[in-house]
Amino acid sequence: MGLDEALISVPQSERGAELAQRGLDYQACWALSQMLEYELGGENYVFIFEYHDDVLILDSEDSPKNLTFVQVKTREKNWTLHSLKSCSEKKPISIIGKLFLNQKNFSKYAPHLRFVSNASFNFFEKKGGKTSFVANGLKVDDQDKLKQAIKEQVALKKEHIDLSTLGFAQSSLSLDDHMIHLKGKLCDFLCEKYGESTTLSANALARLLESACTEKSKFKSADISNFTDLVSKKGFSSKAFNKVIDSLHIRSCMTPDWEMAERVFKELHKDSLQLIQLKVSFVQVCFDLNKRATTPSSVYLECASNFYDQARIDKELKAYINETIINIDVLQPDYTMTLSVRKKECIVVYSIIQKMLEESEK
Amino acid sequence: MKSIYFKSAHILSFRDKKAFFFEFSPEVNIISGQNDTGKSSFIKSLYYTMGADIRLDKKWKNDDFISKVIIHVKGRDYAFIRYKKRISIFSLEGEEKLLITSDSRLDIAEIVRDIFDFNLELVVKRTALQVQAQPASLYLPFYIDQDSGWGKILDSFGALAMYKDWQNNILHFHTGVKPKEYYKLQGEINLIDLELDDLYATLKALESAKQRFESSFGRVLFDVDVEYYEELLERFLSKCQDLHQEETKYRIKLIEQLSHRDDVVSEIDECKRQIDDDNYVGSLSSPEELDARYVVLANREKLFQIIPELYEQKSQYDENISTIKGELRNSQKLSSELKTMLQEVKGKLSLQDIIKSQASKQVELTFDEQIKELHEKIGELNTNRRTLDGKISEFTDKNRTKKINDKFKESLLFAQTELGIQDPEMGTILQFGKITKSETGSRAPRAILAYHYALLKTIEDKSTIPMLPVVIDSPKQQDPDPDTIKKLFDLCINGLSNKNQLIIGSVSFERNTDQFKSLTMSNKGSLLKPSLYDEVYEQIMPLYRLASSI
Repeated sequence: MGLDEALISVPQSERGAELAQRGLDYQACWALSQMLEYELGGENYVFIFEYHDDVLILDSEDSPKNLTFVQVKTREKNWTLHSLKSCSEKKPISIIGKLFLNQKNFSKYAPHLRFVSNASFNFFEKKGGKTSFVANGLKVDDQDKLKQAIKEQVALKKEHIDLSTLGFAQSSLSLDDHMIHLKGKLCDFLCEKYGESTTLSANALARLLESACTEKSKFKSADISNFTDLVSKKGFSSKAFNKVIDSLHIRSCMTPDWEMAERVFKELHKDSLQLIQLKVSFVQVCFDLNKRATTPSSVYLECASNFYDQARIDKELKAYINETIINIDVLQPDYTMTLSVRKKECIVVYSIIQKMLEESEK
Repeated sequence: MKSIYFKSAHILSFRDKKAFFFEFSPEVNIISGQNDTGKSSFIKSLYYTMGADIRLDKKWKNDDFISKVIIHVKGRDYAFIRYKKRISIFSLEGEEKLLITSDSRLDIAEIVRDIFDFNLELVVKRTALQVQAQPASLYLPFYIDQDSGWGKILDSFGALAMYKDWQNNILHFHTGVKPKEYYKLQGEINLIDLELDDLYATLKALESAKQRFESSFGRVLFDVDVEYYEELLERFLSKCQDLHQEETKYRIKLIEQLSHRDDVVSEIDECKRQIDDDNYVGSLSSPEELDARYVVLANREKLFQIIPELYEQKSQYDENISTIKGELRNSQKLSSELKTMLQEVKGKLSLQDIIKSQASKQVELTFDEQIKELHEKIGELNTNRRTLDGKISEFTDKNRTKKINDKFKESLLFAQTELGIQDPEMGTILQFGKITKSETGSRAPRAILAYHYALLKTIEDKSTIPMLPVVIDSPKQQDPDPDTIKKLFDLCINGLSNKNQLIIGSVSFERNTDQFKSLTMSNKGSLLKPSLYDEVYEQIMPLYRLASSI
């Protein structure tokens, strides 16, 4: 039985009923930043959220061989060995125990274990700022304590416990501004991928990816029937990730944006004050146009597109814009009244840019 | 007994130490003598002494004589002494009393007026002033001079031509057409008129002064002050206008900035609304969904980015607005200060106006009061004048004039008939020229006599003026025929001596004159006699010295 099948068939160990949103956010952010690092490193990957463990990392979506169970935990204070290994009646298995339980369940595939947190670990002496370490590098005494706990909680013999498979990492993502960190990473990635002139918004992309990850986290495991389903519903593969990003990039290139519109307005000799107001209107118009419903802006844009006349535009842009506005006003008197002159101007310019982008695409 | 008559006449020649005197009969006195005996000189001397200017012989003038007449007037005796131009008048009642001694004919005229109740006033041509008429005016109807009396009518005395319309006035006066009562009233009217003239002149002066004041007083004051204040006001007003423009400019700017600001604020609100509007709950499982979501997020992102920019913009506007507000407030404050100052200036101006108008009111009030006062006086005088006009109109009654003229014509016709004037000219008293003028030689003297006769008879019958002695010298002119001469003398002696003393001189009288007091001069130049010098001297000189000593 391959790993992919095993992941579906092996029943999950007990999952926390309550998933703290902040925890999820952090988890998604960490996962995304990790994905970006894999991308930058040219590694293949599949990240699966909230399945068997907080995050499950596979090396391939087609024929996965290696897997890593990751626990991502946020915490205000330091981690102690005790807080990681101890259990209670209420919580019969510890954080570390849980990881080794998963290892035990998938021992055939020699999975790696990782514990990630924003907080630092007081039981490990920092050396040269390095915040990640492997458990077998701990003091022997501490190693014994861990082994003892694992032995008790997971029912594993000490000789079968390989602490070298367990890595600890204090993430560079802080609890409060993990999004910013993610954005930074995203920016680096986008520049690397598309060059500096990309019009993709790292912010928007970060939010989009974060929401996508959160959504995947929340997807019910019970509804997953096979590995493909698992990967697509609860996971993010490198392939999928790149597909999304590429699609957005192409779309972004094809969508009129303010930077393009600004060049047009500058040609029309708008001053800086007008440009700011136009920018607002333009963004508002874009906002409206993006809605999947008919808005005054979308109706207006449709009209503007119908009036498109490259020759007139090349001859006298300003006159074209004014004429087009007048023409549309006559055609659509009702919608017209809901729009300011500035917005109309923006929509006409939008239509021009859109047409031009379409033309260049051809 | 006549009420007025010459009692005596004294003539004294200082040069020749000769003298003459004669005591008259109150009735008829016959003076006869050849030419150059001094007869005419004696006759001339009577009214001459009493202040009339009679043309004297040059020879006699050179005699350096002093003359005196005593005339009886209504129970009183008056002595007139004349030496050259100087006349002295004495009242001889009891102790001799000097009434006047003067060279001025006007002074003498006033005493003569009092003595004879002769109130005729005539207008002097040269001065246009109405004055007491000279004594000659009184004597005129009663004297016919040998030299001047017969050539022309009413020409026995000189100097009367100085009066305006003298013949008419004198004749009217004497004949009672305009008697002394008329002239009394006329005098009163004249006085009133004089006063009225005065008042009118004052009124006119006042009114023109008022007008001048009104037109110039105001202007002068006004010019000075207003120029100054106008300039001041001009400056203030232009400053105010500048400020107002500035204010308007700021206001427009403020409105502009406010509208921009509000624009930005509404954009911010719109952006926020759009951002809040994003309550996306769809799935992101498909690529399309991811795409769409991305765009929304990207746009949100842009909105988020732009909001700080908008806030920046808004704060820029807010800053501008507060700056403009400050400037506007400053400008408004300045403007209001200026307005206050303007009010003050206006206040001063109106104070000036008040002072000016008060002063001018005061002056105008004074003018008006005086003018009113004058109008009152004028009204009063005019009332009086109307009363007098009413009274005087009785004398200008046409019936009365007609009656007088009828009497005159009756007497004239009688005299003309008596004197045998053929184709006599008939006329009224004032038509003396027509009546007395004739182309045939002898007719004029007799016509003149006839006129005088009718005149004197009219006076006798109709007038209230005193009947002065009638003095006629040489009525027998141009040797008319003896019958006519007799009739002539009869007419004079019988006709003119009823109420008047008559003194008549002639070379000869072609009738009996024995019953009349007579003076006959036979030798040439025999009037003055050295033998009478001392006696006459005593009669004249004490009085003369009395007059001179004063």
